Amino acid sequence: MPAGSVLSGEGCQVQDEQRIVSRAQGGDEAAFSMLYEDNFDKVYRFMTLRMRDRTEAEDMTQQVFVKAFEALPTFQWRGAPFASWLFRIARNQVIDWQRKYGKRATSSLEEVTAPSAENLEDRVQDKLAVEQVVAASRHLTPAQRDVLGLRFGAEMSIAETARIMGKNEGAIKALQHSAINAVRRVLAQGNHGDD
Amino acid sequence: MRYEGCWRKVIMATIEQILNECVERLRKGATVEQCLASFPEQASELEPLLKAVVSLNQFSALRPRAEFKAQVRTQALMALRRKTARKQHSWLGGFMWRRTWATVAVGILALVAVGGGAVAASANTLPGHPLYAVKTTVERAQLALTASAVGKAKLLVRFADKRVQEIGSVVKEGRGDEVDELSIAMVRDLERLKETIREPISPDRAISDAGKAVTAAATAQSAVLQPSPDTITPVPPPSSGVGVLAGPSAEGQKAEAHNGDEKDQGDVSEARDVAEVRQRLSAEAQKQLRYLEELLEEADEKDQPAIRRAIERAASAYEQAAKEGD
Repeated sequence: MPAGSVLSGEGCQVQDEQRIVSRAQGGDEAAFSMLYEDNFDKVYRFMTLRMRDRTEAEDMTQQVFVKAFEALPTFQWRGAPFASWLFRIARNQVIDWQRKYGKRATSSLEEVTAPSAENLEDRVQDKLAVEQVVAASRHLTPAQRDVLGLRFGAEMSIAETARIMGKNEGAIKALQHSAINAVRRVLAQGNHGDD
Repeated sequence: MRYEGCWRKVIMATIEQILNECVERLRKGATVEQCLASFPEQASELEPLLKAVVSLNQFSALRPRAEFKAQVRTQALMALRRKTARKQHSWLGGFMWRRTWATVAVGILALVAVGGGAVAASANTLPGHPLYAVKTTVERAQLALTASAVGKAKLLVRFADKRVQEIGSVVKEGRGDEVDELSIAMVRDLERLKETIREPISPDRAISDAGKAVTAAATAQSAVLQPSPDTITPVPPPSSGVGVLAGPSAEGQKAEAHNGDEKDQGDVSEARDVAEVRQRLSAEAQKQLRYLEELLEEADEKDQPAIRRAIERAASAYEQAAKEGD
């Protein structure tokens, strides 16, 4: 979780989150902002890894947030964090997109990258790393990309990832291992292009 | 053979767990070497995996474009408000609109009675000033108390202009770090303008917004809401929507109740209003962009990137708003 995150951590903060969600359901803009700021970048990174194209990632992120906040007044708290619900919407959105459009060529990786570092040298390094990761993700299965998107894009825990993907934690650890191994192989070969 | 298979499963499970342990440690700031030292027996297998994890961790540096994030924020908030208003309406039924309007009327009288000192004092304030919140609250109240979509659109054009002027003022005061926030606020106003043009405004939503606005304004001790010419038009009980383009205007609705000729007159009047909003938007876009360009030329080097971003945002937002009106 990033520093300063309003909803980071576990335990009593779950109650805080429940209160924030409840306020947002009543139309409270400050509560809405907390939910939005805490989750927007994570969903965007998840979508970037899943879609591998900035335009598609932006389009999908936009759809997820509009859909989620439209549905928020009817959201019922069942103990799972708000992010789990949000990322299930995000994941379903990707699955629907895949059903609709199947495999589609994506645009240049140049389009994907917009790292945040201030220093130029750091920014170039970040950009290269992001490009490499996104390129390597072309060689992964959808489930492996989901795991990497949730673990490294959204910075979810193993338990949260398991909840969102509807699998047990052991299965997520196995998928994480195979996905990292696949990324390692691609990076070692310097093969970042299309299949 | 059977035992070999079992051992392999146990070893794999161990590697998966160790790898996950290292992923968590690297996320918390540990180095690859520290992780390898903790698991010397698996070090040769772990090392290349952890190098891939280091690359994956850099993915968290990726950030969305600020304009995109601001744009989606507005859309998501509008989506939430639409649904919240609809839900409230279905719960409260037709009775509550009368009661809410009574509250609004009492609130307005109370505000007028309190006096306009705080509002007047806040008119020329900039972000960071204690009364700036009063200024923006009054703007929201003006917007909420304006029943017609055309009136709302005109107000939003004016608010966007104010944000641009405030950008100039903060730069001249040496507070260039406020530019981004103001330019995003300007984009939000123009996004709302787009929504106003696109979406019909339901009467019950207008009532609800008005009630909230009066309460907020009263809390801020900001009396005398300076209404626009379209402000505080009595709104009929919930029926069809009122939009600039998407539905008949309030005037158009009245006309429909009488006869066809009057309806035609209402349509003509509405078309004239929309044309006026478009014309004003186009004129203001040119004027404000020229102002920002001039500001860029005069500004310190350190403020120039933020002003450039403001110009890009303004150009795009004005263009999008104008497109919506086509």
